[in-house]
Amino acid sequence: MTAIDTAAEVQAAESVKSPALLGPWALMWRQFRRHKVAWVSLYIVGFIYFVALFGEFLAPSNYLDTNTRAPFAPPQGIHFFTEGEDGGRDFQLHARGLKMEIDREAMRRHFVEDPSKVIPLGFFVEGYEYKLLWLIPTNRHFFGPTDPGQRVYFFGADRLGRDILSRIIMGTRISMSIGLVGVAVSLVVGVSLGGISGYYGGWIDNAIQRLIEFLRSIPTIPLWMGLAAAIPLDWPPLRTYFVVTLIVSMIGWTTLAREVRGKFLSLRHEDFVIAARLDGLSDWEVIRKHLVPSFASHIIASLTLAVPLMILAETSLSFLGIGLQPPIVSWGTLLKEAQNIRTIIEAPWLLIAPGSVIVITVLALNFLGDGLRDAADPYAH
Amino acid sequence: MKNRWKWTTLASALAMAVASHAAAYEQAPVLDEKVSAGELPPVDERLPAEPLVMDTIEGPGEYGGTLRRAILGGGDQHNMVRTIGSDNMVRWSPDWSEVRPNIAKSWDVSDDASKFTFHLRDGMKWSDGAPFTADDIMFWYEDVFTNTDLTPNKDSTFIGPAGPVTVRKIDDVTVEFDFGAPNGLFLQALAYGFGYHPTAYPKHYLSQFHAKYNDDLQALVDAEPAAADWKQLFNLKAGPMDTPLFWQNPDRPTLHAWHLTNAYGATDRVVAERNPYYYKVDSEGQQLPYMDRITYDQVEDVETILLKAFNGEIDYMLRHLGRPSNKASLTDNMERGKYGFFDVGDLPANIMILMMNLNHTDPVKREVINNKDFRIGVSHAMNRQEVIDLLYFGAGEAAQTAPREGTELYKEEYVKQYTEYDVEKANEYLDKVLPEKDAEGFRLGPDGERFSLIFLVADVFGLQYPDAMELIAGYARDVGLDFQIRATDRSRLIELHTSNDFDAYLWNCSGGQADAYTSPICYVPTISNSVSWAREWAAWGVDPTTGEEPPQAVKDIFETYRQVRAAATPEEQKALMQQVLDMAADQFFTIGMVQNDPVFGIARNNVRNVPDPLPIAGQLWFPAPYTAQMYFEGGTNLP
Amino acid sequence: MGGFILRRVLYMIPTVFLVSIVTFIIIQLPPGDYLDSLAAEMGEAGVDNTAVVEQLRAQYGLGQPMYLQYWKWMTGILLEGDFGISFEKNLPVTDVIWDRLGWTFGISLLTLGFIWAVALPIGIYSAVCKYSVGDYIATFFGFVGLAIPNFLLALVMMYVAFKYFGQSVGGLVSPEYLGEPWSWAKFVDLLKHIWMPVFVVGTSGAAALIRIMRANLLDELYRPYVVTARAKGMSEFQLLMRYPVRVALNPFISTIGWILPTLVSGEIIVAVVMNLPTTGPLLLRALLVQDMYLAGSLILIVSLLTVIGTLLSDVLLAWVDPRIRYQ
Repeated sequence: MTAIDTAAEVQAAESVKSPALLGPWALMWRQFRRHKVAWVSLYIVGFIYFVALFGEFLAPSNYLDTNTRAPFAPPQGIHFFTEGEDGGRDFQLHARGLKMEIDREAMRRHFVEDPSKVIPLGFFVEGYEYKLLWLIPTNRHFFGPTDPGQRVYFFGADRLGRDILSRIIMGTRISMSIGLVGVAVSLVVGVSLGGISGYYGGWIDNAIQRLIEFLRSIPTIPLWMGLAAAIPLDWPPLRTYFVVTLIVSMIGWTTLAREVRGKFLSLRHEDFVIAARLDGLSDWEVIRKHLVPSFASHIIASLTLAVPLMILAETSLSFLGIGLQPPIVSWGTLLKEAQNIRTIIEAPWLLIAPGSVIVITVLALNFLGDGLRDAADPYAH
Repeated sequence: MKNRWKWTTLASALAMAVASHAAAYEQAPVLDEKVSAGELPPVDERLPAEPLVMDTIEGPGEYGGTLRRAILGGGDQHNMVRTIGSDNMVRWSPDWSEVRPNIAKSWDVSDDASKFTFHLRDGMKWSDGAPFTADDIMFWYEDVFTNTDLTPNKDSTFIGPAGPVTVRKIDDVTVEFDFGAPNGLFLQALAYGFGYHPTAYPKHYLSQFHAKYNDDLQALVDAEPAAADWKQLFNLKAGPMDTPLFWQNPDRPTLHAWHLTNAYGATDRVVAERNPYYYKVDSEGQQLPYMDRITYDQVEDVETILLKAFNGEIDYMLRHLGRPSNKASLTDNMERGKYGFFDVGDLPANIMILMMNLNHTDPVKREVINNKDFRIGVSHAMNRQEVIDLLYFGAGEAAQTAPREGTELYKEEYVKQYTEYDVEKANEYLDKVLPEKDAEGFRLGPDGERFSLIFLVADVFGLQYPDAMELIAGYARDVGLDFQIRATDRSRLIELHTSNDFDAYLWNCSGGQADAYTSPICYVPTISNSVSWAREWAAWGVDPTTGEEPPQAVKDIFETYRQVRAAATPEEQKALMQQVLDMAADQFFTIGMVQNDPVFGIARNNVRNVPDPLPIAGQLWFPAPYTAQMYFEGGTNLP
Repeated sequence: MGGFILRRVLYMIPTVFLVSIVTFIIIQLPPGDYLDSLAAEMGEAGVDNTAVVEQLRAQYGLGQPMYLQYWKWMTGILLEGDFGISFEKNLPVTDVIWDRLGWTFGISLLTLGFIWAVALPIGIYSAVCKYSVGDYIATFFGFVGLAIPNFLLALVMMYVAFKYFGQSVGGLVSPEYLGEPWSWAKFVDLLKHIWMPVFVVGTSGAAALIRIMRANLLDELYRPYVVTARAKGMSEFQLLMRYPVRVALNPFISTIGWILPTLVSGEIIVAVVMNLPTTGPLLLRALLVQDMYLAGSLILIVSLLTVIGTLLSDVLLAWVDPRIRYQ
């Protein structure tokens, strides 16, 4: 914010004569706008966090509700027109009911769409009760069957007949917050240790470097498994979730600390820093006023790039069957549940739906981070 | 498929044994060469004077082929135990109805069922050609079983109501097992898996590792990095069959149909070659086994086994594959893999029981759980049919933990009591125990706190327990009970329940068929690795100076079961066992959910003499005694 | 230079010591021990045999205090090269691991080669043609590789190989070559299988390197010396290869150090799904059943090699770029 203020002051002082003079943040913004993919990614990431925040509102049904009539039900399409009694076509958003046939010999269920069974769909429909943003009790849902007794599976259903779309939506909250919390932890630890290391140098630098080297030389999976297995079983699921987040963030901070240190090292002897110091500013002031603003953008970019790593780390933990406890669902646990041959053959949507959500999110975050990083050096060229 | 039994009667088998004895026996073509090269003695000299004439399922077979299976990289020794290992003194018939001769050619039982005299086969040999005699059994008894260093805890098979067995050698081919008091269940127990002990300790090989026989033992101990003293060395060389140790020492001679050539766990493939000294022949005098070898390809993930089966790389297997969730994809790939299905009677007393800790260390939880009304309420709250429909395609029955329909101990009320799904009834019973509720509708315990139970659950047996637990917690929520789920791995779960540090957990329970007599772990409190619902009472039952004194009703169960074991005749055993079951059903210790339908295994299309249905159980390590009579039609694997 | 190397080698010692302690703590963290796992296995097999478990407890010397076990383990390694016994295999750890370590490093090196072969040209291309369609496509595929969890990709590829190519799945050779001596046919069969794990593990590493290469090259491309060289009429390709790429390669050299633990970790999960004879499944299994000396030794060896790898890459960097020596 200081940078923008300075830019404004400078602009005011120089009067309106030189409109080309922009502050670093404004320059960065301009640069970022030019990176179209990053721009689109920003919207996607924004949308994903919106989903995470308003999960219950967007989920068509309760993600825990099972249904004996719908295990492995395939995704249902949305249809627009119904055949009226007079043979004409009426506009009516609807899905078609599914008829289940059980083949007991092969232990398999077949689903056939039944065009005569129309399930009308609508916006802002009534459904199960929840608290919007943990505060406002309501039962309105964004989109779904108008009759609360009906169930529609837009992304198909899992082995217990639970709605995959709703599970993905609720998993978004967990996965994305693991990313955020993990990154926040990495930020605090990484920036302070990296900063100390780079600014002071000497034995402190050496000690911190050894610590980082040590943490990086232990393969992550055994480390995670040891830590996760040590979580007491009588802890409630929510506390377990936070510990898992902390475990995951252990991988993130070392990278960040190294980057921050590198930046400090290279900036330490830059003319403007020396000048500031000669001006009589204290260490802390130099760091706060001159060093941090000059690489804040890099940190933001690194953080954006760290979020997808956290999300993927959580899927690995789930694959190993450690960490999150039911009824909490995350994208990782959804994928883990689909990680078998039976699913690939019989219900590929269980794999495709969460898989593509993860891929899209990770892609968006990476492109966003890339855009931010490219924009972070507005004077480069 | 079910009518494939073609049982040659015992009488005709004996007649043929006599007839074929005169004629020379036949052997596998691969052995001809070795015999003519002088590496092996001729087949007549390798076989005992009276070989066991095996009752083949379809008929005599032909030699050749490799039985290909897959094995997990670790902890899957039961894969071998159940295909090769279980070949005891006596064996169960393929339909699990009667005990038949195996290594012992016959036996006599004293009138009070306290003494068992076994007649061995004259001229029988270990897999290395050394003679197998009563001395080997005496080596086990004198130097292993009664040696408290090597056997600090004795296997219950060989402990009668009056204490451990006494074994006496009558002559080279006769031994007597004396329990000093009636032990009517001994023959049954000996036919089950753990009866392997007396015939698994070759004296000529193992005595070199025993301090009593080898004075220079220290040199051998020093040469073995994994052993620090002779006892450890002996355990390494003579490990129990159900641990990896047994399958890591291919040097140890056995009486099995195939003998390992390399150690389990050290390579990508474990190979077991035919034992040229195997003591069984078919009705035409052909020495068994028919198949040349068994290979176990090591895999790391069960999914790979499934793909191997699709690809036709598995000849005969039920382990890891026979799960309801695999049936559809296995059906789809039948043509490609050229295999078919056979039925597996894996029918325990219940495949899913809710065990709540009756000996809980927390007095509040203990009080509530011990209240039978509470357990009845929970039982009525369970929508068992939905669990069966969702998880098992409707293949099963809502049931309590009890003997199966069709078995001699079955009673309808054991199976059906309190299984009706009725939320109102459940609330009625629960209101008697926990009438108060909090703002969220959860019931409060007698201490005024919300009453919650933590259910441990591990994903075992391929039965989707974690899914089931989510459903169960939902049903509990509907009647105001807070059941919390903790998914964990099985070893942590076992560690917690064996140290009595748990509220409740989900597991299965044996004792659904004939094994109700020898494995009544859900009817009588028992110290066990698999089920713990009253561990302190169980400890008291073994030794009243330990554990905790149970109520009189439970003491009566202990006493009646003691009488079952001492009973000499099957009629008395049955009458007394029925009493035990009556009392256990009245106590309603555990809440059963489902009795399953038979599961399945796969066999490639040219594998013959496949037992169908094949009974298996926790104690019944099938198909091992019958693998030797399976063969490939055409003498080789299908391409 | 000699002083620099000596200093770095001395730094290694406390790191390795710390690693060994932490390793030992990690593997002891989960409650219970190997025998509980064995009992659990028996329990799942439906076998109830509490007698055997008690008999074996003494066998493995479990129940001693942790520092004593650590001391025994460490002195064994340092004085006799003895890494202890694998409880589950009842063999010295050294007998079990070397074959598998060989495969692990073989696959890791191939993967590293694969990553470089993919990341280098794509990285250069997308830096030179910044914001072109090609840049977007290249980075897109790089990121997709990163975004798909390895275990998922492994399973799907295995299924595809089975379904559409009729290949025998799992393992590095087909069943008919298992236990056979090496031959040309077996080698060809190996090549048919080994590309899958290399590809799966490699895809997740390539994206990171593409990005690093692109960023570094972008930094260099606008330096004055590049402009000067271009002004002097040097051909664009020569110009690119001679200076900026060489400088931008520095981070590639430093990846040698840290990519190893990443590959080994990534490989664990893939190896389990794809059934490879590497250390991954061995380590995972050892951790699950608390076969502690086996697990501890594997972690220790991998960590040690990582530390050495880091050292090597630091020395290489210092040799390539003398400025680093004096930092």
